[in-house]
This record gives sequence, structure tokens and C-alpha cells, in this order.
Amino acid sequence: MSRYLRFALDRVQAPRPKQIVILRHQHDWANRQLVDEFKFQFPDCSVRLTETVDANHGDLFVVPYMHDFFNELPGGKRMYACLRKENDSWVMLYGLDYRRIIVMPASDLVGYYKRGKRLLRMFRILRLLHMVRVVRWLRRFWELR
Amino acid sequence: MRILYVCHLDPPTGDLPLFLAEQWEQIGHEVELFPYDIEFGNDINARFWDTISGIDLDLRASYLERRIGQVCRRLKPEVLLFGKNFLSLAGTLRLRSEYDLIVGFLLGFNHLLQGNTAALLSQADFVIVHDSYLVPVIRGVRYAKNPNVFVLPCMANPEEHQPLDLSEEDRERYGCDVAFIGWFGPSRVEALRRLTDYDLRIWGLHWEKTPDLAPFVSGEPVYGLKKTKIYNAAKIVLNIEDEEKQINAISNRVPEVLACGSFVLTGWHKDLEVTPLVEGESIVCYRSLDELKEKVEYYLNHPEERKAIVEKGRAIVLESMLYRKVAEKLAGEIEQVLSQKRG
Repeated sequence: MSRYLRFALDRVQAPRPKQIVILRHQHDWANRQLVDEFKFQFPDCSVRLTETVDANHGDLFVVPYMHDFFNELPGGKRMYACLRKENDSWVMLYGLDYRRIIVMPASDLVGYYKRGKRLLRMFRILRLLHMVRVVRWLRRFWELR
Repeated sequence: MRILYVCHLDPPTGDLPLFLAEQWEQIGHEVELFPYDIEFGNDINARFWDTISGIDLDLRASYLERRIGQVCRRLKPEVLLFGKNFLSLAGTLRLRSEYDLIVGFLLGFNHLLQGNTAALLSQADFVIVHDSYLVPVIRGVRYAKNPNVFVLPCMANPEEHQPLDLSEEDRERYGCDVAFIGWFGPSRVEALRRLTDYDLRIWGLHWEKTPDLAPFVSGEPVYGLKKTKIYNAAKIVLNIEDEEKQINAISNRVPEVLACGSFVLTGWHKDLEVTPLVEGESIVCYRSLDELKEKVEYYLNHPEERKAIVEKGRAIVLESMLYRKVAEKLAGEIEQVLSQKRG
């Protein structure tokens, strides 16, 4: 069941988890759905919810969000920085609305977050400077040359 | 065969590409999925460029073509299968000639007039359709028709769609007399409005357009295990096709619900005739909204008849409406096209 979870892990060659820790979401149905799904898909694995990242965050740490990870910032920046030190753990960003799943090594999360924020900031600056059209034109020229 | 399958894998599309790919792999083919939503929609760099590009479909298609080309260089596929019109016609033809492969197009619903779909169907080496209505429309050798049109019937995956032992909490949460899972659509609204006297639950998106149905709507997204639990917990699961999406076809929901050991009440569509399901014995259909209401009333009051129909229906699904069977047949048809091309 939920074959998609296995697919998402296999795609990035993440190992099968033994301990899954899920960051608690504000909606109870979401917590329930996630715990159910992971328990069903990985029956030999321990699955638990947590309020924040602690010493034992398992080998797969699931961070659920609803629509936009970068605006919702589930868990907060400090948590992402904390996970940077983890070499053997993986993080799954789980977009609940459209099952948007991204899996990466835990140590990459802070870099992913910073890159995303940087790109959003860049877009805002380009828009303020009325440069979006220029960049779009240049990209079109390069892409469709 | 080595197959590269460019597809959507978001919940509204379902996990069809995953199941199909899995079955093809089990019979010895090498399949790689290129999920558009993960590779493009979820990718932060791609999203940034997409925002910059506005709704410039040429740019998006060109970017995707480059990404797919990279995978083709590595995988060297013999078959490039598209689950939607992701690329331009020129880009698709470029990939075909550059990597010496055949191109297929899987039409999951009837969006023939959307963008460049018709041109892509015409130029593809083969087309897979879900709706038998489209076979004579597309198949042919003149007027830019395509000679290789294959049908993908509805099917279930018994590993994903199976009876579950639900807890009391699950029953309370997902249980109801009548359940419907699906997006808002005019024909669906009409049908569901007739059933508001029952314990009705509607799961799906965009139902805020019908405030009168709001008390019955759950805004939670539904996919994976939750979908199977809803199928298991409802006394009757409705299958109301979106008339703008298909004409003769019935959705995979019909075999999926039966595989779960649950009762499905479906609108009658012509493709039901080509399934081994027998109306009144292993499947129950309605042809008008009055009949829908009558049958809901009747089968809610006759649980033993529901049970008998489900048992027969489930046996048929597990015998002959599985991805495994369909995948084998499709692979054979695609291999024929491939060997014709190689002469």
C-alpha cells in the first residue's frame, strides 16, 4: 500500500528506514494519515510522532507541510541547521495537498532551504527592478536558440 | 525493452504509471519513470525558472526536453512513453530521431483538443487510450490518423487495493453509507445532490463551488492508504464519471473498489460490456439519476445482496482485471511496433 513512498525513497537511493520520526503537523488527520501510511508500508519499522527534532530522530525524518514548504517553514530554521550534522539520516519533505514528496540526506536540508529562499528572494528583487521580462527574454533566447 | 515513461504521479492521476512500470519490470522489461511533478513541479530550480517564465509553454517544454534528453543519453531507451502532452511536437520528433527510439502516447482521458495533443497523437508511433470511444477516432492510415492504437482497460492492483481490518476509529472516521471520491464536476454535482438524505461523504477537491454540498465534503486530500480505507469503510462507493473526461470508459475505481471487497455503484458506460463483470450479478449500474437514488436505497437496505455482488465482482477482478494481465498484453503490442520499426 502507498507504493509511492517506496518509489520516492528508491528514486534517490535512500536505504529502507528502520526508525521513522514524523514531525507533528497542526492537523490531526495529517498526523494520523502519515503514521498509518508509514506503518503500513514499513511494518518492521518503528514510527512515531515528535514535536521537535530531538536526539533520536530516526533514520528517516518526515517533515509534513500543506502547500508551500518555504513559506510554512515546518519545524523552523534551527531544526534544519540541527539536522545538518546528521550523516546517516534522511529527510522526507511531505507536501500533504498533492503528495509532493522530496527525499534528501538530512545534511542537505539546510542547503536546500537556503537555496530555495535565495531563489525566492532573487525573484522578488527581479520583480521590484522590473527585470523579470528581461530575464525571461534572455532565457527564451538561450533556451530556444 | 527499455522504456522511459514520462508521467504525472500526483494523486489526481493516481499511481497507474507506478503499477504499470512495476508489472513491466516483473516481466523482464527495464522501465524508468520520469515523474513530471517530482522532476519539474517539485524541483526548486525548475520552479524558479517556471515562475520567471510565466506561463510560457514553449520555454517549459524546451527545458523539459533537455532534461528528458539527459535521461535518454544515460538510459538509451527503445521506447519513450508520454503520459501527457509535455513536449512540443518538434521536441518530441527531435528526441525520436536523435535517440533512435519509438514514441508512444498514453491518453488517460479525452483531452484531444488540449494544446498540441492531436498533433502528438498523429505523429506518435503508437497511442494507448483509456476510452474505447477514441479507437475509431484515432486509428487509421489516412487523414493523419495513427494505425497503432491500443486500449488500456480499467484495472486494479491487489497489493494496493485490498480488504483491510479497520479499527473502530477508522470506521468512525472514514465510514459512511455512501462515499464519493473525486473532483468537482457538473454531472457529479447533479448526482450527489440527489443523495443528500443519506449519510454521504464527498472526498475531493474544488467542491467549494457548491456550498449546498459543503456539509458532506471533507477537504482532506485522499490518496494511498487513506483511499483504500475509505473504500473499505463505506457501504456504497459511487463511481460517477466526469462526462467531459470520458465517453465509453469506466474509471479504475470500479475494479479498485471491488478488489477491496467493497460495493461500487457505477454509472453505466459502454466499456463495462467488454469487462467480464456482469450487470446485476457482479456489478451494479445506474442509467439515470432516479435509478441511482433507487439503487442506493435498495442496496443500503439489502446488505446480503451487496455482499453477494461484491464476492462475485472481486473474484472476477482478481482473475482478469489486474495490471499484470494488461501490462503483458500492452508490452506485446508495443514490441510489435518496435520490431516493425526495426524492420
